[in-house]
Amino acid sequence: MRLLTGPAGSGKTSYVLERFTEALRANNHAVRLLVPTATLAQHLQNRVAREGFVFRRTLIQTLSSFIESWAGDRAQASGPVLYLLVEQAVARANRSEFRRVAQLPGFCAAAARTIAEFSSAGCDSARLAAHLPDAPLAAAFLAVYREVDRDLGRRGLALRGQRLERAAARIRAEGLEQIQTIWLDGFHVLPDPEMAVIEALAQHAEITLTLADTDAGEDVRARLWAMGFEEERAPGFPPAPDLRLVRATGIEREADEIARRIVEQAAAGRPFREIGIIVRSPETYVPILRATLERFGIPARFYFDAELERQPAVRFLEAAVDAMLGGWDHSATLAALRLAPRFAGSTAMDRFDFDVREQAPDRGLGSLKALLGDLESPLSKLIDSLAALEEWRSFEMNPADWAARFHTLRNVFRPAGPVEDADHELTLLGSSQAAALGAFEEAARDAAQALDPALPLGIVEFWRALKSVLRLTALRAEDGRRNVVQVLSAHEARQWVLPVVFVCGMVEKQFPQFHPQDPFFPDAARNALDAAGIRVRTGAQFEREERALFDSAVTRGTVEVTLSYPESDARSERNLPSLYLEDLRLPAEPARVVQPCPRAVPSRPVPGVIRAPELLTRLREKTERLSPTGLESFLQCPFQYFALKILRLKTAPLLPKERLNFMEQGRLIHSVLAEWVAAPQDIGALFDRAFDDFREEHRLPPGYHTERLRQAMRADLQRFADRDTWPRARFQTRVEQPFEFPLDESVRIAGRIDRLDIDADGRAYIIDYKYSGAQRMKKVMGGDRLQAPLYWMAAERVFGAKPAAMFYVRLKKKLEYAGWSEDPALMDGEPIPEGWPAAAVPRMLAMVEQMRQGRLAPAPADAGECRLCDACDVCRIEVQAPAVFAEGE
Amino acid sequence: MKTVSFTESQQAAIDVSQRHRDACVVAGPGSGKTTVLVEYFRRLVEVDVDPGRILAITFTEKAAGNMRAKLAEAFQEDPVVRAKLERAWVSTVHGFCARLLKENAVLAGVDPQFVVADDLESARLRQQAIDRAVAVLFEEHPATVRNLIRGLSSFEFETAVLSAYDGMRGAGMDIEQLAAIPPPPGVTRREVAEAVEALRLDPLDGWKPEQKHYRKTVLEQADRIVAARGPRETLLAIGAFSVNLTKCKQGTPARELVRRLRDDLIERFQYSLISELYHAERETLLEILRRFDRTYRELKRQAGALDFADLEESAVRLLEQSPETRARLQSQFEHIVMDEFQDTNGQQARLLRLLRRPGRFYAVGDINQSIFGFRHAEPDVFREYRDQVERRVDLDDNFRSRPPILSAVETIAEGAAGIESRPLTARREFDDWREVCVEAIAALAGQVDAALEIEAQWVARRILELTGQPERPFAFRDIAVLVRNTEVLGAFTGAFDAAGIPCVVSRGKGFYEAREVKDLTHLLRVIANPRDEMSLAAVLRSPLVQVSDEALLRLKMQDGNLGAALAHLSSAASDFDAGDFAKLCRFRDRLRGWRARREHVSFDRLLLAAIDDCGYPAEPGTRAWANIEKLLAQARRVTGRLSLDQFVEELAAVRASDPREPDAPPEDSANAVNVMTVHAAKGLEFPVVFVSALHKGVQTNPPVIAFSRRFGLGAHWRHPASGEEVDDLFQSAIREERKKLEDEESSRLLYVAMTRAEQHLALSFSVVGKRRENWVKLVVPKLGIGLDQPREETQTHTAPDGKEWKLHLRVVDRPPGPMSRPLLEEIAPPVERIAPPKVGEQQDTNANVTGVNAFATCPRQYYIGHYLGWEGRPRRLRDSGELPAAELGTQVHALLAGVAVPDPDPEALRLADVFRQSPLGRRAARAARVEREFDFLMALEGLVLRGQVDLWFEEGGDLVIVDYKTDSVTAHEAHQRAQDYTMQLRLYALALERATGRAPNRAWLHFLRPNTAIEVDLRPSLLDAPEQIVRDFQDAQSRLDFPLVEAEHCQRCAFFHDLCPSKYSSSGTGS
Ligand code: SF4
Repeated sequence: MRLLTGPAGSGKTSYVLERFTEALRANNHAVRLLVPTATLAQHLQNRVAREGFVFRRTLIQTLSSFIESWAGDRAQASGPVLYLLVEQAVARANRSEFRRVAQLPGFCAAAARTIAEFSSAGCDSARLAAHLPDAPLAAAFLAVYREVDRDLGRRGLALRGQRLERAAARIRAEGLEQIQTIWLDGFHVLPDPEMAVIEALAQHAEITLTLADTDAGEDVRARLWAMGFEEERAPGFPPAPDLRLVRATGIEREADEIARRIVEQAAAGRPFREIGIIVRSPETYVPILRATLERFGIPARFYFDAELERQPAVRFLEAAVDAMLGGWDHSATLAALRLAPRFAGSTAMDRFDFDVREQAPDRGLGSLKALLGDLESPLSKLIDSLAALEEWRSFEMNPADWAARFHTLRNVFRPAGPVEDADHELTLLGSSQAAALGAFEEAARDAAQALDPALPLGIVEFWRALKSVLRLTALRAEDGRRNVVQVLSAHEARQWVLPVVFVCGMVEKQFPQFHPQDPFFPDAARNALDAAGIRVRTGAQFEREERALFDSAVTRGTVEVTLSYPESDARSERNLPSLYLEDLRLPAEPARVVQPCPRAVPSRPVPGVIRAPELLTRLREKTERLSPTGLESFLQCPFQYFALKILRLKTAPLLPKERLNFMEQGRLIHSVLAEWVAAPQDIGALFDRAFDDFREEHRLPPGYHTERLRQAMRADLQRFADRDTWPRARFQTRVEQPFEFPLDESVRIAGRIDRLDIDADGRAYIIDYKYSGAQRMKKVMGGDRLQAPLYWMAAERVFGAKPAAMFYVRLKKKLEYAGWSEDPALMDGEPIPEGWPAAAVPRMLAMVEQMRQGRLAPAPADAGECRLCDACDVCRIEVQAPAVFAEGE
Repeated sequence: MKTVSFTESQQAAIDVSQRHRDACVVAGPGSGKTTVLVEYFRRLVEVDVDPGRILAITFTEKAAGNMRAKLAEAFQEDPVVRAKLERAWVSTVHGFCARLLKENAVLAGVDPQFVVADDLESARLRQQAIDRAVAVLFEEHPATVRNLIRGLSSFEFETAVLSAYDGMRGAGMDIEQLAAIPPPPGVTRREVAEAVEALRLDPLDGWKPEQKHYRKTVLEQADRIVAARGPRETLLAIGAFSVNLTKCKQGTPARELVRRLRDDLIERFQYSLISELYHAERETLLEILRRFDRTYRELKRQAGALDFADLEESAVRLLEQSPETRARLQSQFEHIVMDEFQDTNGQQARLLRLLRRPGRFYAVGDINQSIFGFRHAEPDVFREYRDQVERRVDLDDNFRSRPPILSAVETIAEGAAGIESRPLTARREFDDWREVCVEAIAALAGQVDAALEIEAQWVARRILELTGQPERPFAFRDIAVLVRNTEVLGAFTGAFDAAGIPCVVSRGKGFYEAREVKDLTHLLRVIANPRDEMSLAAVLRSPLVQVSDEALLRLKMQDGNLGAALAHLSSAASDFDAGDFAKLCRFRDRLRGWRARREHVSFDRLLLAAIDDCGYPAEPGTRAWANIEKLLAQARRVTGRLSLDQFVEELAAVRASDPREPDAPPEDSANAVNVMTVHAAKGLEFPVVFVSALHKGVQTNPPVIAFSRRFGLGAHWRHPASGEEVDDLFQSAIREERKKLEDEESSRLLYVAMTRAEQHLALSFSVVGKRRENWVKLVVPKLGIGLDQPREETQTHTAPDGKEWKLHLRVVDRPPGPMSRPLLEEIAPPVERIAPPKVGEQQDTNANVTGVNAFATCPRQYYIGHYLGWEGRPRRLRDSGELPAAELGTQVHALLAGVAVPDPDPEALRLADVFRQSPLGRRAARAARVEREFDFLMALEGLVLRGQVDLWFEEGGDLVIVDYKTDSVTAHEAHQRAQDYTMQLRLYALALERATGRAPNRAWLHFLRPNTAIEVDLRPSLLDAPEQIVRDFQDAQSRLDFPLVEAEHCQRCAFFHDLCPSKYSSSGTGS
């Protein structure tokens, strides 16, 4: 019985491997090399295979798989299963202490975590009961734990610790068949159940156990000695790599700097596989490292779990089931369809997407398919495949049958065929989705395992359990590439030795990580348990482990170890460098500012003008017939005119609540007025009808703002009806009069006059309603405006009247007339401007000429209006630099 | 720690022998407050107080970080204390609450795994909650909501409700407490009536007859008000009340009465009437708050999230409801050290009261720097404490600014409302002497915008002068430009951009409007759906593609929709300009690639790929890049949580809500001018400070719905006659309160702004006509600045303490002349461009023999089925009892290996028996040496292969390999299929040869269903030697090149006619 100790990197593993291969060479297969993790097992297997040995894989394996045949028939409960059991146990135990939190999603997770921890330490509920420490929540926790233990038994499940203990007992009693020699390598902590296994193994075989000095504490040594282990020191000396420290302004620069150094190493001939990055705070660093390494073209493998529920394939399936349960609400269904990989880039889907949104809110697959038209299209088939889920709602089945049914759910997820010239990244994405589907099925099995097998249930209950499992299940993407940078967690890294290692995120609270107290058993309680021989983790122990992790991290590199930290965090608050750095006393090198070479060089902006003859012809065609608003738009800004009138750019469909926008309000008001003027009646009732029609047609959501607008518009109309002082009786009124007339031989003007009042003498009074505020009224009265003269001309030329006045009527919030009139007494009209409308014609023709010459560079007449312009994100007016300052030397 | 010499007052402040008495340190600006706090902490530890037993609370994260850093430095040589500091309680109030709650989650009734919702997240939840709350109420009680809207119709309804809600929670109040606050007393009908009576009885001495007659008119109108029934009628009567004071005799008591009636009593009587009239609607408002509160809490519960107010509230509740916890914590925290005490709100004050034990509270603060009233800070708590506490120390020495700056501050602040007069004694020593350290720039113009533009350009010019040749005393990073209202930031950053001055803006709200953010947001929208033409056009015209407008027009002419046209762009579209066409095609292809990954890779990676693919021009160290990184960080955070569509929608919604989202924070290394609000500058100092746009204040009118701790919930409502908005009693009281508060806080804000400057202070403002607004009202008269005409001069002023100081004054009415832009190297360090490394050997380390075998048959099939791992055919729901094929195979293999199979399938038993009874089976049973399920590892050409030989045995000197197959095939099919397994058996043979030292002689495939054994030829041809196949295999993996082999096996392939494009047909048309 040998305990081989030594500092990290002192050659313990090499020693073990030498002994192991010696045995293979001697054809001795009665040996086992046991390690804690599958990765490490695979490492060692590969190492031995590369030396030319052909051997059975089981000779090197994890402790868990090794004990498999002795652990009994109670299967191991996975984390998510334990969680579901805890959920049920909490409900059954019904403790007052937990009443306020029992329903909170994180509570059962926290309880499950503590139970798992206790169980791994060999402390089941009975043992806990025997040593229950004094803590406010201890008794309530115990009650839940008891329930969980009972349930595990009923479901034929066991936790890891229990299985180990069971195996230990059987090995002790039955022996190890033919195994004579066992090496245990790579272990860091040896909780009681593991210890029990070791003790049992030691009774039947020759055991060598390796432990790093930092892991071989007093008590561990004492227990091993008691089992008959004798300590030996490892033969080698730890490497003394070149240690460096880098400081960067933020995590982005830190990641850039790591990438830069890796590229430098690669250029010097070092294969990527010899480089590792150790990460202590994966939430912060993994995403940014992924992005950065990819950006710099560095292939890397990430040894981190992804959340299963966030995998696109799983999100698709979840969304599909949720949409079904929600009665195929269109937005929800669309969200699911959008995740279907075969349609990721489909123009048919793009169009459908906008059509659906246009029509939202709605529900039901029937009306959805109606939007499609073509019932044979692939998209339609996809919808059909969803429709097949519908019947699931009516089923009542036992959990196992549900699981089986959910195994067929993957059929609705049809992967996209592999793309030609795929890169490794894309390939990994593809394979991780295949794995996610597998995990989804596994999850369905887990959910079934945690539920009462005999109790038939509906989809809602089963789905709830399955969703919990999905939420809690981790997925590790397989990436077996040989030559990649290894990105490792600090725990994972303990199994690795690499020439070049980076340790990032060396800041306070990240490394060492801050360890808050457990909500059930705070430190005092844990110390008490520890004293009673239950070795659960205390704060002090956590700190020791954290330190050991760090010591291990900096000894993973044999040639160069680079530590780094960001000076400020994502919110640009200053970080405090890690306390561990203080002992090292390294000078910090600043990170350099780097970027990958862009893969294209942007060209200079091109001047905004159209020159090609055929396009100019097109412009001429498009400008043969113009509306007053078109001209006004050009007057405000040629680009606005180009974007909105020539290109007619449309944006995504409006959200339901945005549909009653200014334009639609104006339209509604105009239509009501037209009707009312033509046939006076109760304007409020008239409006209410029109509004209801509009609301129905556009599916406006009810609510404060819809109602607010309704009331405001109604009041505005009512005000007009009640207080209008226009001498209407004098006139014959015509509403909504379309007109069209030639401005010169090449341009026709077309528009619509809101109201034309003709008096007995045949004089025309032009009325234009404005549903806008005072500001706008001022604008339309501005001298450079074109609408009024154009209407004037229309009245003359189209309606053969002699115009005498033109008024704008402001309706919003206040009734107000503004305009020009021959008769100054009429509504305080201003005198008709000199030379009106003839004076405006040359200006308009000049504008038309500019349009036709292809002028379109943004040049807002009123920069304040840009805010309201729909093209404001397209024109890039803000990057046209003002010319106040001269260019420098 | 460096030895610092402390002044006498500092000595008093850090005297730990007094630690058992409550203390208040009044610390002026620049008085070395942090040093004092750290030193006090250090000394506490020195007298054996465990660092874990000191609770130190700062106002900002920055201050907490700063304090922790200094403490770490102070105890660097003492590893034990240093290690304890890691766990010390030095944080903001929120940091403290979060930790407290994490550790006591169950007792506090919060989710043990709660996350603190960031601003974006909580804004989203709140919006959802308010929408839902109102919608449901509307559905249930439409008339009630309609009535509410009739009285209170505002575009900003939700914003106002939410801000009132925040105020309420900050004050530590709940809705029932809020609802219980009685209305402040208002003017009653009786008071009005009395005044009217008094007017009626007035003898009207000296009034002319027509004046006397006018009284009658007044009385009639007033009587109508007094006599009106109910609030509505009274309000209508008031609406008709119109009095012309000039018709009353000047200087008489009666006229005064009329005036009082009109301007005071009736005006205020309206508030009472409005309150009465809208009593029910106010209840509706409260009901909306209640429902919102419930819904919002529920949403947070589901998300496992707490917002900042929850942190405080839950902590308070924990302490109030659990006496044991309170006792435990009180005894845990032997000392509480509190910075910026004047800025605590009601809830925080309550929390502190619960935590404090008598005699152990050490608070630092300064009323003159209390500027967070708008966040419901309550400086009175501090004032009270300061005035009662026995131990008070005043720190008046200033270790920051040059003396003239302090003199200027004192001159301007002297006597201003809200400023307590306290001397600022300059104690910092400077190496050089600068005669003029204070300047002022006044920009005159006819319009505000024009004036502001001139002002901004002058500020730009002055910055260039201060940082430029020849003396170059300052770098850009030494300069801060502080403003009060973020609306003016654009003018300044615009001027700086034009002048080539790098700047970083914090706490603006320009983020979503920044060009680069818009470009990338539109790109995301295009990836989500290119039919969005507005976005597509924005992207196409941006540096991401940069095509001409002609190209846009041509594209549009191809199809009704730009996006569809782009997708279908054919190579025949040759009428495009060649450059444009190439760009469009390149973009179309890239877009296709991004879209294929849209839900797979995080959105930040999509964006980065786009930036690099297109060479989007932005470099680290610039504001644009900082903004991009901020967007990337946002994108990274939501990936997986939101779909791309949702993210795009969220971005649009946030932008539309006009958020106060600041530009990205500065990168510390960036040499850039800091542009920020005064509030953001609190606690900072800069060598040069411009306090700019002094004229631009903030809107201080209360919103339509407002909250105050004293008066509760106020609102203004629609006057039934005039339609104007009128305060209710609550609101009018709140308005008064705010006005007073605002006046005071305004001066303090200026005080804080000016005292940030170390070496140079510049004040700048715009002037239009005679208008004097905001701080200009204070500064111009105090400094006697004449604004009649442009000029430049140096003035001498005298501070209240008699010291003289100089002001350089510029009054300008036009922009400065052209100036040269700063050189690039003055701005940012050059960015290194890194070429991508050479990448090779991307093949896998390990492989399965079955995989290599599949590869030998058809690389594409291997790729899809093994490498990607896709299944081909749709799953079928099994009839119950039927075993899936794979499981059946496993059982058969296990049975034949002699492993116990619990509850074996009858078909498995039968097939196992088929083998046992077969000739091969019988030979194996007789063999000299047998190994079953030999699962091996073997390295070949550097590849580690894993395989499992079902059975091999030695018989009469021969080594025989057997592989069972349980496929359901006929004997004929078995012979066809056998070819597919040749490579597999050859690899097995190789493994066995290496393991046993001798080459196997024969190999058999035994198809159990038709019971057909087929021998496989083990002699490899040169072409498909295992080594060669493995090399090809690795090469294919490394290059990701997996060609199709279209042949008869296609028909058996699960991917035929689906994931594989093979066109094989048995009639021989395979390509
Ligand atoms: S935003 Fe302004 S400059 Fe841009 S297109 Fe619209 S009007 Fe023209």
